[in-house]
This record gives sequence, C-alpha cells and structure tokens, in this order.
Amino acid sequence: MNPAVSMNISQGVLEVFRQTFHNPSLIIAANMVNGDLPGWDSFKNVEILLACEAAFGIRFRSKEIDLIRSVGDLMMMCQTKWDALAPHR
Amino acid sequence: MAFFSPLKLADVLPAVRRLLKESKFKEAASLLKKARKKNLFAAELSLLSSQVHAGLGDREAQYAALRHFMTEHPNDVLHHLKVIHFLMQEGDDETAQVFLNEIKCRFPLSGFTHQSQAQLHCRQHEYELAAAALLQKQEVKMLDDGDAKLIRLIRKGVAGKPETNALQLLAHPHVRHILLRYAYERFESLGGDCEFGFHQRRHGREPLSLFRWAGMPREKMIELFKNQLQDFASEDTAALKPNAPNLEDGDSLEYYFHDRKYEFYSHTNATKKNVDFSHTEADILASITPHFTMLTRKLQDDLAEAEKAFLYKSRQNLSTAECIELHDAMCTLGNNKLLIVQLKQEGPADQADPTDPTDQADQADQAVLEIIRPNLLVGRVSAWWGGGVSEYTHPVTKEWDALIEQAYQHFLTHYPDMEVV
Repeated sequence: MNPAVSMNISQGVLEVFRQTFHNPSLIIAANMVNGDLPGWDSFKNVEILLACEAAFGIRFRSKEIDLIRSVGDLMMMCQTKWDALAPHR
Repeated sequence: MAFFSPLKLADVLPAVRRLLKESKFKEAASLLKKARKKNLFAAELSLLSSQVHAGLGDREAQYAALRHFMTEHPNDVLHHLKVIHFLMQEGDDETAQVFLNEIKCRFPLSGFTHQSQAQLHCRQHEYELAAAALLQKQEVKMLDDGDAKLIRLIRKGVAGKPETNALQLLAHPHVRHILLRYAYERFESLGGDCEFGFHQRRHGREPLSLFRWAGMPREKMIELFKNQLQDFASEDTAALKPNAPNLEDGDSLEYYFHDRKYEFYSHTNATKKNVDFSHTEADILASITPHFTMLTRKLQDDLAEAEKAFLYKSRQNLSTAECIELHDAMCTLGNNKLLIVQLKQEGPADQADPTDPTDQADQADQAVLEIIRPNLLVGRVSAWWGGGVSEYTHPVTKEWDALIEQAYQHFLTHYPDMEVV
C-alpha cells in the first residue's frame, strides 16, 4: 500500500470492502479496479463510496469521484479528505 | 532529568520539515546528524537531508544524499524515480535532469524513465522534446493511459504548430485511442437509454453518473433542470418498479428505481442474484435510494461546474427548437455543453442489421455533426447500438467514435477548461 496512506484509512477501506462484498476474509490491493472482484460493478462503486463517506465522516465531490480509478486512488482520496478535516476534529 | 533524549523518527521528520520551511538549514543539518547518531533511518530522511544540503549550497553532499536514497532499493526503477519527482516538486529541474540521465542509463528498457523525461520537458515547455521522450517510451514499452495527461499537455503546448515529433506522436494509433478514451470520459450521459454507457464501457470507462443506466422523458428532464433537481429521488417521489409482473420468473429480472414526479427509470442491479427478494420492497427501496441521492448530488456538482459535456440520446429526432429548449433548461444550472445524438434518418435504420455488411460498410466513420450553438451540438449516427456482447464490433461504433472525437474537439476549441491537464 502507499506509505502516504495511514493504517487507519487502509484498514477502514478494507473493512468497507469486506462489508460491501459480504466477505470477512477479503483481501484488497492498491492496484485493484472495477471488475477485479466478482460483482464489482458501477452500482457497487456507489455503495463503496457511500460506505467510505460514512466510515470516515467525509463527503466526496464529483471531481474527486472521477479521479478514483483503483483501490489505491480511493485510499489516497479518503486520506486527503480525512487530513483536510483534521483541524475541525 | 532524562539520561538519553528520546529522539523519535516521528518527531524528527516534521521538525526537519519545519526548519526547512523556515530556511534554518544549519539547525536542520544538526538535527539530522543527531538522528543519524541515534541510528534513526528512513528513506525520507535522505530526501530531507538532500534538501538541507541544497539549502547550504553543498551540491556534492546533496547528490550523495539522493544517491543514498536510491541505494535503498537499487533494482526498483520506481523507487529511483521518486528522486526525480521529489526534485521536480522542489522545483529543482536541473538536478532532476542530472539524476534522470543516470537512471535512464541504469534502466534503459523502462518506460517510466521516458515518461518522467517527458514530464520534465513539459514542465519546461519543451513539448517537441517531450513528444520525443514519449515516442521513445512507445519503442520500449507501449504508451498507456498513464501517459494521457502528458499527451494532452503536449497537444495543448504545440497547438497549431506541431513539428516532427509531436506530429508523429499525435498521429500514433495508440495515442488516438488514449485520447479517445479520455474524450469519452469527458462526456456525461443524460440518458435517453443506456447506449452511451455501453460505448464508455467499450473504451474501458465506467464513470458514475445518474443517467448512465437510466432515462426519463425529455419534457420531464426540462422540468427537473428548471426545478434545480429539487425533490428528485426524495422520500415522496422514490419508488421501485419491477421490470416484469413476476420477479420470481428469472435471475435477470430486476427492480428499477423510479421517480414518480419526473418519470425517471433506472437500472439498479437489484436482481434475484444480488438482492434477497424476501425483504420487503420498502426495505429494498431504502437500501437503493441513497445511491440515487449520491448520483443526484454528483450530477448537481457537474452541472454547476460545467466542465464536462453532456450527451443526450434521443430516439425521436428533435427539432432545433426542442434541442434549444432542453439546453436552455440545463443552462439554468451552469453554462453547460450538450451533444444531442439522434439518427440520420428515422425509420428502418433505427434497427440496422449488424450482420449485413452492405447495410453498414459505407456508413462507418460517417458521423454528422451540426452546430446549433457553440455549446450545443446535434450528432447523427446511422443506427442505434444495443451494447450486447456480440455487438462490440458493430460498424456503428466507428461512427460514435468519430462523433465523440469531433464533438470533443469542437467543445475544446471553445471551452479549453473541458480538458483537465
């Protein structure tokens, strides 16, 4: 995983994937993209984004969503938004 | 009194960064020295150390620190290139070039080095040289989507006066595909039906958007925009609609999401395979509605930012006045660009036979584009495409590619913001 992503975020994203795909032993990798897991389609993507928003208390803007192409991108985006919120926590 | 000061890496890194920011290079050097004595080591310390030496004007020590960083993973080109990106971030392109020359010698067959070279040239507005670097990458390793941003920068940089390298690069078939994929992504579906969503998929793109797998009557869409998307997918208007009288009949049967006020229908993927149909419809709706709330929010952002272009497919050919009416409604939310796609001729071509080569051969690449306003186009294709697995080679796909390419170029000429570089 990208060292710029904290353990909290990478673990949190992993949990989101495990819950979304109903698989508690699921393993994810930074380079995984849409379609790399059975049932991972664009509908699932919305579910994953919503779950990340809830898990980290963040809200994605459209442009940010468009930049997310892989699990690694999602983690980086969550980290960036999480860090941006730090002064308000 | 503590016997040993507990110097921790987690404290050293931000402290050095802070001192660097304040240009206190001597203090930073002293802190780094202490850290080394305590055997604290992190690759990042070497990079910071190089910055400190650069600040103190000691080029030899700066280079040594950077080389020390590279030796940590001597066979990993991406690790070596971190030095280049670090130096570019620091604005030290001169040193970056020195190190990149060395890395290129160490990893002669890596495409990443040529990509970094192109990036460095682009930063210096040397677009012909950047094009040459990407052509070298193409020789050792195929150009890919990771190069798209650089290709767009080069195209923009040489606009109107491309020379040998840029001409050769931009004419390369791979580059055409990369740029076309990007163009497909810069259009957002406003529905009609799912065809454009399948064309995006054909180019490996799966953007999230409200209308990608959905549709609503044109007059309702006008109302939706005029109402600033108010009440859409709300508790009062959201409903589920099975796509067949009996959902138990087959695995492919699905609950559609339906907005009663705007007569909107969308696929949900809520099929027997994906959803437990023993739940009540109210429960299924409650789990699906947040998707549409998010996608509505996304559409609202996109319409307000007005950077993308929207694409509306109309099965029924619209008059110019009808096209303008829809566009005007969209423009109440932002200065938006719209491409309306309809058939060249309504009637039998609506369902052209993909297996009949004579029906299609002379139509390939023959998309027609009509400019109504600089930000309103009408494109015409000779047939609709269903997006079925067996149809991916349907000749009309070439017409769509030509249409998207032309429309994108047209919009780009008038609205350079459409291209994010």
